[in-house]
Amino acid sequence: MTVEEIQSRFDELDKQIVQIDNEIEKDLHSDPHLDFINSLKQYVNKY
Amino acid sequence: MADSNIRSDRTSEVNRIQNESEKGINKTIDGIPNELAELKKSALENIKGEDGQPIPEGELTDEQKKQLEEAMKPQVEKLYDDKKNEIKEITDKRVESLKSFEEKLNRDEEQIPKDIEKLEKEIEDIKAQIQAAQEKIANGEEVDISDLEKQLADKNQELAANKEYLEKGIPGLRNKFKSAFAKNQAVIDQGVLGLKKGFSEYSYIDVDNDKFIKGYDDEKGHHEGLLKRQVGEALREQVEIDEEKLENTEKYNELEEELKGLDPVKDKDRIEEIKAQMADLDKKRIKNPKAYETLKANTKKNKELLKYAPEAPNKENIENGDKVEQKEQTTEAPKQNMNITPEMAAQIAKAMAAQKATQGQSTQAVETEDVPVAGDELEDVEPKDFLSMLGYEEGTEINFTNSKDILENFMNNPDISDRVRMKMINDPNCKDVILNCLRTAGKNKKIGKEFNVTRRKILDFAKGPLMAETLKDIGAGEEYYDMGRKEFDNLDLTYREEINNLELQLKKASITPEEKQSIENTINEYEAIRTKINNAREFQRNADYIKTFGTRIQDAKDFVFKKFGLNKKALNPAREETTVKTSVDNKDTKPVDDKQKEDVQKTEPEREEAQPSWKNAVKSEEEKDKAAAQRMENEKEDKAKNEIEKDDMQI
Repeated sequence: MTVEEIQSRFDELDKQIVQIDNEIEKDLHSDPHLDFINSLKQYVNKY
Repeated sequence: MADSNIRSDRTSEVNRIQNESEKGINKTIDGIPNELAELKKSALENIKGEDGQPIPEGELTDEQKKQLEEAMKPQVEKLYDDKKNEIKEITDKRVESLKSFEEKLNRDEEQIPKDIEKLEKEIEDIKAQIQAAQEKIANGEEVDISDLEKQLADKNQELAANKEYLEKGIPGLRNKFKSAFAKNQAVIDQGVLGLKKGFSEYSYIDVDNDKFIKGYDDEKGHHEGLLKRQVGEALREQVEIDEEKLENTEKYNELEEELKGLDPVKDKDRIEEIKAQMADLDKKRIKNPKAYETLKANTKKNKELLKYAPEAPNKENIENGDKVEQKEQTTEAPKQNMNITPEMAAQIAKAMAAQKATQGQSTQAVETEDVPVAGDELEDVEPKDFLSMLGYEEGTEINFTNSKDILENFMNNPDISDRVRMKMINDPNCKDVILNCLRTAGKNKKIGKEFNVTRRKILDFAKGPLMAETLKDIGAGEEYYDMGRKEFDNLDLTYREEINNLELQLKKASITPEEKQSIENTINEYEAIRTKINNAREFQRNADYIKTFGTRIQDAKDFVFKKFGLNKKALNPAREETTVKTSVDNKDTKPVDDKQKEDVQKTEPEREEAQPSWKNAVKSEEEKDKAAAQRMENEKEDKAKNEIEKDDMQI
């Protein structure tokens, strides 16, 4: 692979694993009740 | 926009938020109690008394209770299957993504070395062409080699990029993959333990032996289910990481508060000290207050779930595909007081017996006198003997390279029984070596993550069987596994109060000799239990001690001083108790530079972020030389610092 191809390959894989990790993190660390209350508070404040 | 439209928009926005928030494993498992309560409610409505009215649950006869159970059973089983499928659906999606990622990584890992080989040949070929051209030039011929030189430079650059990707890029990505994989395992643990907790009242739901979850297929002989590791293992590790983040955040906030009340002139030194600590903690804390609250709530919930997990994970067996017998567990909620009934005591004894049997199988411990050292004479074991017992040559030094291996060997050596291992952990000399290994291995950034697993194993071991033995003696079960010092204090206080009451009764004039004897017997019994509680507390302290020492020396100091109010000498009782000094003592341990210390103290995600990407890692030779010179300089300084710290520890 050329330098550019490697750069692009690395970026693609890095982006992919970060995205997967974020999704899992959300599964692992979300508290639905607290999330809901926080999001709702944000929404109420917005209006 | 009309009011009704605004209302409608806002209502749908709120619904969207709610739906979005309630996705995931937490939603699945949190819903179980309510859904079961609904099932029970509707089943109860169908059981009517003579007056045709539904009967309250508390007033059901045995026959009616049986009727209720039978009516509910198919629905409970269906709910269980639905929940199981929900969990599988969520985690399978992630597993698929991870698999696809890993395949790409594997392909690259296979392909890149071939590309490198090809490039190296091409470079050799170009070099040969240049050499031939230069010979022609030397013979007076006019040859233009600029094109060949450009080709050579390009190919060299390409080769360097390929090598960097193979050596730094791919391992970096693989680390991120491993971290995500471990997190996904923790999510699965959350789900499975949530099922165990949620359905604990329904004995016909046997989560532990559900092939779908446990993953072991007797006929096929391999894992096919949700779990690839012992349930709870990944979640336990995750909770440990999360708790550290929470602790750092709390400590940071405390320091921030303290700073506000200090006088800039009078407390100058303390202010400097606090600022330095805050700067360090700032990298490891959670800055967003909402994220902190969420993590706190979630960690609390995860810790509750872990009470439904087996104590000692047996990773090797699971990875090897061996059949793992999970030990029998009590699925009751943790008890808040000491009302241990005879039934509970029998259940505890049964659980403990099962645990012992499981441990015997899993570690292949030799519970005979044939062990290489006589377990009963461990008091005489010197550190050098301890190492030779583990198969190391006399005089083996503890260093970065072997410290983790020694610990692994200590935990896994089939020639050493659990009984001996337990004695070693409490033997002053052996403990000294174990702590030394923990300290040394804990400082090595290269083995940091793997070391955490080893440390966890030792901690589980120190905490598990030792605690279990003592807790069995005092009539309490696994529910006390996570008890802290305060809880032990409370337990002790309960018994003390009870003894005081009994002593008051003894003073009554009307007491008969028989009653007096009976009360005195009870007092003696309670006093004996108090002694055992204190032993358990001591074991707990040892386990915390090992854990803390293995992590950070500075924090160990704070921990010991603050939590136990001990003086400096008590920091290392083992050294006080023994004068044994051998070559395995840490006098030969390599110094640790600041960067390494920093890396050890970083939380996992930050450690990964801090690793240079393959792109940044390409440095010119000149830069590398400069860095090496600087590193040597730092090492000299750190060696001096390290000696001071070591002396400090030995006070």
